[in-house]
Amino acid sequence: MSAPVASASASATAAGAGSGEATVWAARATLALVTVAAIALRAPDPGVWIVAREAGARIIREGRLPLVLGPAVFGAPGAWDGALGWLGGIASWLEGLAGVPAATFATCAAALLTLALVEARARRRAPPLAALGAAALAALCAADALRGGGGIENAAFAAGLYLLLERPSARGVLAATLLAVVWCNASPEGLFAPALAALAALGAYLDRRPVPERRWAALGLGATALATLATPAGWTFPALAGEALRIDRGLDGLVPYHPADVSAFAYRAGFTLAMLAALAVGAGRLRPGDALLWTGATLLALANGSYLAVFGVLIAPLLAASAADALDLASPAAAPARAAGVRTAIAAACLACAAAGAAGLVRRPVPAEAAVLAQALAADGRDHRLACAALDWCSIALASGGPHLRVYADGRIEALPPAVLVAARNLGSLKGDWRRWLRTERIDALLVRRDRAFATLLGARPGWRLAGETETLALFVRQP
Amino acid sequence: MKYAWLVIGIFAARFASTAIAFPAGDGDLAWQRWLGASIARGHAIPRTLGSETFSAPGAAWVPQEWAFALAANAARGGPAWFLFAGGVALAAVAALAIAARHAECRGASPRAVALCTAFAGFALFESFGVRAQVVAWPLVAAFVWALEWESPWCFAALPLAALWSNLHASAVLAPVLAGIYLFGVVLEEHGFGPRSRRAAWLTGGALVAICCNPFGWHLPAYALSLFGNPIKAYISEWKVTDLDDTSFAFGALPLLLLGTIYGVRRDGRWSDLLILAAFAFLLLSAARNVGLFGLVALPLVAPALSRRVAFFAASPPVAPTRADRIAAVALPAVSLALALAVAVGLVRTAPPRTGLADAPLAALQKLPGEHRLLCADFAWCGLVVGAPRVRVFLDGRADPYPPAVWDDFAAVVRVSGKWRATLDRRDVDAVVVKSGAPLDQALALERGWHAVYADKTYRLWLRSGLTGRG
Repeated sequence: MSAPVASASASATAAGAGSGEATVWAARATLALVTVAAIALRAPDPGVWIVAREAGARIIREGRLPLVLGPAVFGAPGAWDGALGWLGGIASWLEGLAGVPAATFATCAAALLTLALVEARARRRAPPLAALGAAALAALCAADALRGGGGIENAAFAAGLYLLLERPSARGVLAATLLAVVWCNASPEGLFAPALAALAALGAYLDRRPVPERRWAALGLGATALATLATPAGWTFPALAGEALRIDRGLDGLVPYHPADVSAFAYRAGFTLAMLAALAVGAGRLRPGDALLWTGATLLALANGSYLAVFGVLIAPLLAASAADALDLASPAAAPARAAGVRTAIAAACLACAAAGAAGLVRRPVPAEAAVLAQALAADGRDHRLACAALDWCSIALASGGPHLRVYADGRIEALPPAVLVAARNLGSLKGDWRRWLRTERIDALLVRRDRAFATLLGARPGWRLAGETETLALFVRQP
Repeated sequence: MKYAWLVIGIFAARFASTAIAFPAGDGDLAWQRWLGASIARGHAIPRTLGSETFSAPGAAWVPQEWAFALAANAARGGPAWFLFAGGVALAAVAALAIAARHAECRGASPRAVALCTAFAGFALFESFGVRAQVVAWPLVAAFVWALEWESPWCFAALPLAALWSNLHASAVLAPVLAGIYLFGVVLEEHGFGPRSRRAAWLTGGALVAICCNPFGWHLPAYALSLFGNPIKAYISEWKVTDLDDTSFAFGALPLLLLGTIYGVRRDGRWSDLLILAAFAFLLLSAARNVGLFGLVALPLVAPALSRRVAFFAASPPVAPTRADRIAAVALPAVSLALALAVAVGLVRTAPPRTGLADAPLAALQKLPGEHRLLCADFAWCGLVVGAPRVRVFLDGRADPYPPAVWDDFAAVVRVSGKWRATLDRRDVDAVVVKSGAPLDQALALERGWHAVYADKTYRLWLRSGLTGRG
């Protein structure tokens, strides 16, 4: 390990002054504009938007937290769910009161805050333009999350928490603890809080930081770990949230998590670029703690592509610091040429974000179709028992289908017993005696992809009829 | 290398066991043997698909595996098979050994070489089989090494590239690698210096060398056409790399992590970085590149590890002791003995049954008449390519089949709305499918089809009213 960059801040400040504040501000404004445009041009993710808003509305309507799955999920009624993400649901409900513009505004605010936090963390160890480059890389990694319900809020929490715990102090630990409490109540991803604190504490120990810093880091770990218990789920939160993160490879076929599937653009552009840049400069070579963080963030991104935004905010400052060190960005003599390179990189990242925004415009999201078909099913006013080829579709159907619609299982996989998950997987892959299972569970409606075997087989059998179809999905109902 | 030899020995045993004990584990071997027999019989390499398929007879074909196919045909059983399969395993071992030695020559410590060799070995695991691309692996490792030689010996890369192009179409990587190396050297020399000029000659030479095969320039043209070919969507090894892939998770990913943590660029050497970056890009793009990445990354990552981590730091050079001299010979010998012991043990063991659809396909061949067969896994049909009275819809040759054939194949196997019409339009009259699969269930609902063979795993369906044509 090479020694940490001595007096980096001082030389960084000098280089920053040399490269020109005006350039920095112009690049910063461009990045912010592109980010806002990408969010504004894309509709909120209907799946998360509808489901979270309905969860919040239910809490307000009933005046209590839904700690267990209700009878609407007839495959596992009464299963303990601990009201995961209840605070996020209420926030979505509040946004919903003001409509889509409010959601867009909130997402823009979260995204800009995230980028600001990334830049602030990078500024500790890199010159201003390199720090801005880190923000641009983080934006690229978050490209698929830059929409309402895209999960950029988790990236903001992660960026804020690591900013506080990377150089821990009494105030930092206190603020991180409060942040962790809010995060754990807002979404299951709050489980990342103690994980990040553990990485920060271990990093402080490996980096041989001053003893007080190490103690505060250890305290931060303990405090954030305790914060996970300050949710309605209590001591069951870690286990439930761990399942809800969807990083268990046993969930293949039930929920999407492959990076190339859930965040295709961010994976191909942001993740790949980060890897290639790290090969050049060595993202973890300056400090052992950096190597730990880099490894953890990379594994997280590969485990579930939804967390590419979190990956970006965690690793971008490391790359900025390593690049500044390897390319000697702080050297005044080299500043003009290197600054031009960084500006080019920022411009490229902006273009890529714009391309991601444009790509999001033309994609017709499947969740919206699920909502349309669920409403069509509920229109007859009769009770229905629905099963879906993908669990998340049933979450949307439940949220948009009204009180007469019940589902076998939905996207709250953390609450579903193993037998229900097996049954759902068998149904999705048409394994076992699925027809008999449909009869046993008295399922009278099925939501499936229209171009797959399921739809063909249902259409070929007597007893089922096509009740509606969209571009991607088909709804079958059992004939009386 | 002293620790690395033990690691290589373990992998040698594993590769030998895979190659010898599971000879038919790869459906491609059957059609490659048929290809070898065709070449031996006709003294010419076929350039189009023939009547063995009914979906695309006459489609242009570049049978890049022709040399491997000839050897596979000559080694159908007995000692020849063991020599052939053992030779393929030896190729994989040689690739690891070359890459490990390369790492050592670049200043990596024995510990770093051993660790990275283990990761590279894991990276080769899932791609390994008695396959043509495996025979090309040592050539990849040697080519990358030869590029760096600062002597006229570097031009040994050119015959390597020519040989490579006669074994596998991945030889198209040779001029690409040389070109990337050239670009890196130009950056290092800030212009066109002596190293750049040599690299330029190597790049040009490699371009010519990969045309030194029976197909000439058609081979690189074919390889390049694959990049934009839509059929990749239907082939599992072209899928995007994922943590679920064992070779990626336990082999290539650790190497990638070490490379990204410590960085591979040193002393202003751009060529190392550019070559590894190119292969990292390929790694993240498709699962089929995991093994190649392992071989290229090993000599670049191990030295970085030695430079950056004290535990892996190289010791200062000292005169070898007697123990070192003995170890230099004994460790490779132990390694080889270990691999041989496993291989001999396997030779004495009856090969286990494989998971291929050989039983239903054998049943089909016993039925009278001619059959137009579709296999739910196209690789199974490789077993009956060239069989009398059986013509296949799609088989493991894969690449020469036009996209329309693949679209129809996907429509049937995924049981999309037009699956029945597609079977009718293509006049398919026999289907082999896994029992209980969606297509199996769909055929069970059809009146026009009946099962003529079934076991625990497979079912053979035939159109009703047909016991075969003719």
